[in-house]
Amino acid sequence: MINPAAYRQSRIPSRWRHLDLVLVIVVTLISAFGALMIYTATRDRLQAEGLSPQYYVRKQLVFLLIGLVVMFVVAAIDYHHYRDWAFLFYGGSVVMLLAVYAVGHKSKGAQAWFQVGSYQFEPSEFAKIALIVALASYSATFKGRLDGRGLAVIVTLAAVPFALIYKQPDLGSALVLLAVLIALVLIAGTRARHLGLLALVALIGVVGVVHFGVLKQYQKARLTSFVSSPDQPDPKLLQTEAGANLYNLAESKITISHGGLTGQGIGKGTQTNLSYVPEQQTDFIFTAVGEQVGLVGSALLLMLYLAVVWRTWRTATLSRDLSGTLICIGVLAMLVFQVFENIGMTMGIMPIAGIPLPFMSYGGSALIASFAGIGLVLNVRMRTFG
Amino acid sequence: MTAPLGSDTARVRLTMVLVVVACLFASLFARLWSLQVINAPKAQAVAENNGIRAIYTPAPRGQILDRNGVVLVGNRLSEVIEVDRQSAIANPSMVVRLAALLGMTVSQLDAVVANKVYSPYAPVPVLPDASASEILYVQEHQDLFTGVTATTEAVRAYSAAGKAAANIVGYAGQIGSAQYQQLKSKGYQGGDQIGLAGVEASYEAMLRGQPGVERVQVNSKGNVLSVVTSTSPVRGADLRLSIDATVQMAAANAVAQGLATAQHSFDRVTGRDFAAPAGAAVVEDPRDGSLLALATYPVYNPEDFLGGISQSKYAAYQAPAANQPLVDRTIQGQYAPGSTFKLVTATAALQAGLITPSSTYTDQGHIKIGPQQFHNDNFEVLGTINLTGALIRSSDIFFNQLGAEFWNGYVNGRRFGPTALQDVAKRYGFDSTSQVALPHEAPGKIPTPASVKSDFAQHPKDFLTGDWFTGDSAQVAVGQFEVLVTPLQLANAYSTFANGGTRWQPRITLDAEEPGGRVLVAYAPVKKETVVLPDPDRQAMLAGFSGVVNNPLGTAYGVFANTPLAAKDIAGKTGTAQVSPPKQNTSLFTSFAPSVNPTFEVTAVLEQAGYGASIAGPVVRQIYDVLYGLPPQPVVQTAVSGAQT
Repeated sequence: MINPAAYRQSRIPSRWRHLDLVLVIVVTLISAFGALMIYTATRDRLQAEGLSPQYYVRKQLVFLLIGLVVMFVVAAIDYHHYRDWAFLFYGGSVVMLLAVYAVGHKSKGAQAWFQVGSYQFEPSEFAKIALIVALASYSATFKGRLDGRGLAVIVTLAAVPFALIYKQPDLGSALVLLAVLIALVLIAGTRARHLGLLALVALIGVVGVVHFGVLKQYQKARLTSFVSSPDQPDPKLLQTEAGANLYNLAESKITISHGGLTGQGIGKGTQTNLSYVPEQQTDFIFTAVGEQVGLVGSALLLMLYLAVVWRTWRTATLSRDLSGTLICIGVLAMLVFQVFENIGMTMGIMPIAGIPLPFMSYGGSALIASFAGIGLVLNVRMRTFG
Repeated sequence: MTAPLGSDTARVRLTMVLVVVACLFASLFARLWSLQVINAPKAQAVAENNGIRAIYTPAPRGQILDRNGVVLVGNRLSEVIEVDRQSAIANPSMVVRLAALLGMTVSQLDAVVANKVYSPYAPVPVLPDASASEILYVQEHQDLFTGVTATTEAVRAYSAAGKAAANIVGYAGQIGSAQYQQLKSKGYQGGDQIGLAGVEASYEAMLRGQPGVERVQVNSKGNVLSVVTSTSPVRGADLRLSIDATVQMAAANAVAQGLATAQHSFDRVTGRDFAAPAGAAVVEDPRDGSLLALATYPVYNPEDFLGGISQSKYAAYQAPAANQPLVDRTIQGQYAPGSTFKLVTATAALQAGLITPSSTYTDQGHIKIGPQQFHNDNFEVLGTINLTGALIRSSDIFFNQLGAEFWNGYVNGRRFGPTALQDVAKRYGFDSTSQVALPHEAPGKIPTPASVKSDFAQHPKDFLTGDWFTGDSAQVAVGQFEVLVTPLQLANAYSTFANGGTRWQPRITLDAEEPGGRVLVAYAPVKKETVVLPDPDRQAMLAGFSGVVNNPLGTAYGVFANTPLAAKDIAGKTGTAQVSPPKQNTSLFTSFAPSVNPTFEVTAVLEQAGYGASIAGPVVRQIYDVLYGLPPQPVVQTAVSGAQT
């Protein structure tokens, strides 16, 4: 344990000595590996287009640095202050989501970005963090006995950004909010019968959405096509949009399978080098992992994610107060849902939804938001012991 | 544990979260295992071929040789200007310059570049047979013509003999879209050359060769990244024909001369010079059906089809004045055989026992059969004659009478079948294609009561009646009415008689050989039918055919008498077939030599050219001169007198 003498002698403030170095190292490792994967997935294509082969990886490394800085900044300010500012964050993110709806940049069929110079800023990524902080802070006030009214408020709070993100349309990010909400109300002490009621409402909601045309045709196709996705990419599929999804999914699965046990080697994935998987540096980055480092490397990556989850869960259980626990659980739910949905999608066991792989996918907003989430977890641990 | 999580519920719920996480990750691991361990071997194969595309280089076609190895059709290298598609798309100003250089409009050139028949991974040929100056210009101004390159490709080259045998060798051209759809599975690519006529078409599989295949790695945008494997094209097999280049050229020349001569000869029947627009000659070896020559006139120039025939040239070939040069008269020309058909009638009459070699008949020059009056040419009265004499002097009445007796014998007491005469014709190979290995052969026609009936039923406006009359049989007996034969069928029927009764399938190819000379496939002669006659009967007929040439009374005596060929023991039969006016008579002469154990069968058929002896005879004579190595005698009209049909 802490030696009081050493503690006094040290110039490092005590809370920084409780920095969860394992967590920091693991997420940095995952991000660095992600940058390498982005490089291998884009190098040949960029060269063929006459661009610098490092175009994407350079930008990603800049995001990585910003992300690390954001993580430490988020960790530095006691999270109890965040409770006081929670509704500021929440209100700010809702305003940004409304703004992106009004003046945002339309790209790939969704209006989800602000164009800032050559960078795109995606408010929905930050809305996730803001919602975690806001919901955790509010539900912690119930001291582990979340009553029906509190639950209604929380659900309403979550529903606003959910609806705005869903309208962009970015179904994937909206589902992340849903995962966060479910985890938080569970841990915040919602009564069992309220949970049952919530589950019933959710079930009716899903049935309603699927059956009564709330979802657009292409969204339905995306959500359901993976079930029947073929193993071979038949070019005939490319004639329809739904078929194109199946085609891409087949390429995705083949690319991962092509890695086999030990992979084709970094930079030697023919599928990856030839850009057979669309969006490979973003949503399908895991295919580059699967092909180049195989089962061994992919499993190792999953273990690193498990390490992140484990450290986050430990911090949640150790937290001195419920708000710390809930913040950690919110971050955990966000990361786990994204990892499972993203990797599951590339392997054909989850529907295709535009969700980035945390710390791996190319994209500044998602990377920085993920680091901010880790910053929160570090913060809770530092305040628990420090 | 701090206060807020003191409750058991919170502990349980936190553990639940961990269990859910564990389940999710476990399923990811499981799926990873199933993809990367269980599915890996299958995915390996798919992935290997995913980025691999094949680029095909057509192989030079095999040569077409005559029986002695003389090249009829070979290959020469042609310079081709090609342009890289990506460069053309990226550089519109280069396309404008290139279009100007090639004398095309920009939209024409764009259309060529966009043509989907060419592989998307290889340069597009834009100018075949480019001149040296055009190539030099492009190469010296590479800065202006980026992506434009010159290459060579093998194109067909025709020798003089090859051109004289255009109807046999045929031509190759770009594969049509319907044909491509059919042949895709056999490895054909869009834009490939394929045989379209002659042996180029019928022996496509041999001549085509093995295209070179370059397997290249491309990315998902179709850009070629590297070459994986590469095999060179293998030239097609050389095809050795039974044709003799010298004989083919001689036959083509003789037919052309014969037609030219006829065009300057006066036709007493119509009161004008003969039109003589077209003709054909066949030289066959009766011993096994091998063809030494198949000459047709007019003939097309196969060079016109190199790289696709131009619209104007094709229109010129199709013009009525050109007289259908794309039609090979030897196998597609269908002519009334006239008196040459008496081979069939004589054989049928002897086999049916209607006559014997010694039966005589008194030819009064005319005969009335039913309501119809028949007469010999020029109303000549030949008196009492037997079969041999009737053949020598070509008595029509003698054979009209036999034809009538066949039908009457059927009608009165069923002594013969209704088609006794026609059946023999069919056994000689008439009324069906000879199955010579050339495309689009015509079957000819031997009319029967059934065919007359069905023709009338199908086209009541084109025919007078659906009934068969005795007179029809009388006309069929002398190769008139609706009897139609091709020159090749006629030659093959006489070959069958000449060799003692074996009908061979006419053979045009001897073998296919590798470029080194090793025989890949030998095309053996094929027996189709036998037409056997008792020796006395056969001798009587042979004496008739021999007498046609060698008896002073013979219809073709004047053609060969007093020439070196008189010693060659030639036998034959003249034919002068009437066709519907205003067309003039078809001149036919078919022959074999020597009359015993013959080695040659020579037939000539000239449209609208008069008596068989007067013009087809001299054409055949000139061909024999070449066959026997004698100085060729000019094709001049032989004076005819009396019945010369």
